[in-house]
Amino acid sequence: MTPPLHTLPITQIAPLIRSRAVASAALVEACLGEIERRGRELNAFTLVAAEAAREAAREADREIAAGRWRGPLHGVPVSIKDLIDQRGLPTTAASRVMAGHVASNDAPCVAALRGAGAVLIGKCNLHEFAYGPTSEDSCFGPPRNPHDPSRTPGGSSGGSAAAVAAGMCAASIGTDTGGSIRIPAAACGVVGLKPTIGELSCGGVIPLCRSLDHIGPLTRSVEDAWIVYRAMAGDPSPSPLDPPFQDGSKSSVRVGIPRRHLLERLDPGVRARFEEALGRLRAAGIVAEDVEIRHAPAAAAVYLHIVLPEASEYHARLLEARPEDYAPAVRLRLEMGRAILAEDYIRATRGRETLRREVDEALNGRDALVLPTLAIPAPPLGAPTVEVDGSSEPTRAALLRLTQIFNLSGSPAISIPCGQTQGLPCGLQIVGHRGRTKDLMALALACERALTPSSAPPPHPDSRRW
Amino acid sequence: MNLHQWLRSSFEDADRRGLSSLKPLLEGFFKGTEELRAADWGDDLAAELLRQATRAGQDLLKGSESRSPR
Repeated sequence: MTPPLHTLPITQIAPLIRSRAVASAALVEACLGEIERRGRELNAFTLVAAEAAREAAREADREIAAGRWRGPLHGVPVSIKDLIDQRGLPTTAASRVMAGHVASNDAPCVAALRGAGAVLIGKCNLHEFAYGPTSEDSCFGPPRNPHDPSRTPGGSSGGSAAAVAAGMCAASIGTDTGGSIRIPAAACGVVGLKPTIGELSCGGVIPLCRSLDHIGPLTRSVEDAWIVYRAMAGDPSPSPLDPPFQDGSKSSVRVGIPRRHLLERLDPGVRARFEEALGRLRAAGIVAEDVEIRHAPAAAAVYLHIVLPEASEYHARLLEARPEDYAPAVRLRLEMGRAILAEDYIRATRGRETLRREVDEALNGRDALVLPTLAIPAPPLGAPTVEVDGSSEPTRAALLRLTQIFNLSGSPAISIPCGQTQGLPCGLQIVGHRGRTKDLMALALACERALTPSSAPPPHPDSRRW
Repeated sequence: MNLHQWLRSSFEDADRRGLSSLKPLLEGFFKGTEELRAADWGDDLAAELLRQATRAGQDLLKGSESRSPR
């Protein structure tokens, strides 16, 4: 049976749109239909720009018919986390604080997506001001996980991940300060990329922590993430990735597994899926060896002593003027940030340098680090704590535990699906060298194919098949 | 300011501003800050200066011994 149009990856949709076998208008209509069908249940969107999307799709169809195909995103529906400016639409940050604000310009990444011909279908729900990994604190109510709506889709880009997983759009743009792209990607079973720090402009994005914020795509495949990431960087028609190993060929790839500290406490189901994935990668010829990041246990303390005061600095005036308009938990974290001493903030920035050096050392002589994205499957909405391997841990800390360290190091990192536990998706996190996001993605593509050989697209004779 | 002083003054500030719900967070944060302060970040300038001062002091002592009257 042919999968429904709105669930196909961009790499399969793009040739259909380009050849006019499928109209962008039909694809957008299919996505809007899915939003109509499950929108209320999943609460993934804060705003659906249905009429503007229909008009943009018709325009894309006209351009393509006239021979002006812009690249693989042309006519493809993409959503935007509602923390990012899209001209003429409200940027709400899922907060009452932002009531009445309408963006007068596109953020640079949104302008680049428009330039690549993407159809902007709506703004996605999130944790208020991106300040939490569960998406629970939103003035629109929480988005929900398509695999089990009683559970969080992760956060803070929870609506984005839910929308992509549910076929409401082909891709979404999220932000990631401690894991906010990778965490929801893993929780919802999609791909999420955080490029190298500073690689994509965060202009037009409401900051959470300027020194740790990243922006990047959530998609249904690694190749789709590559297409969207390159479009965001102003390259609407990128060369395909060249994976370092393929089915049947032996790999010379070496990866490090930061087993000590980072992998010591995992949900047993998550651990089982991770070890199975590692087994498959080893069978493909990857050499995997244990590495240690000595200060990894202090990463959470370093992260919090940087994020809290930087977030409080941005929000200081609004917090004074309208404290009651923040969600109570977000307000408390912002107030908490004001209590942190300057000497501890500076100490944490030195800690960040140490961790960055140690991550680089762990990567030295290796292509990547590989570990689970999340230590647990998506927890129930509203759970203050979770049980991890027999002990209780605050949900927020458990969700951030394996991702925040790579915001501190600025390394590019991607989450790809790697099976399920308790009917919920698990994610495999692959972390590369700073400034080498393309190499990371090529490796991620090879891993994706090794982990899900049945879903890998057949080789195409045309190397530029998009 | 040591951490106990920090916690006490943060509690007082929270009370003054009617934010008693902040206290559990501050208590929780105490442990994280303790961890941050206790970690060996490897390139501690103050420690290096202390080591240098100690070495200089020892050299001075040695020098004064060698210059001592016979």
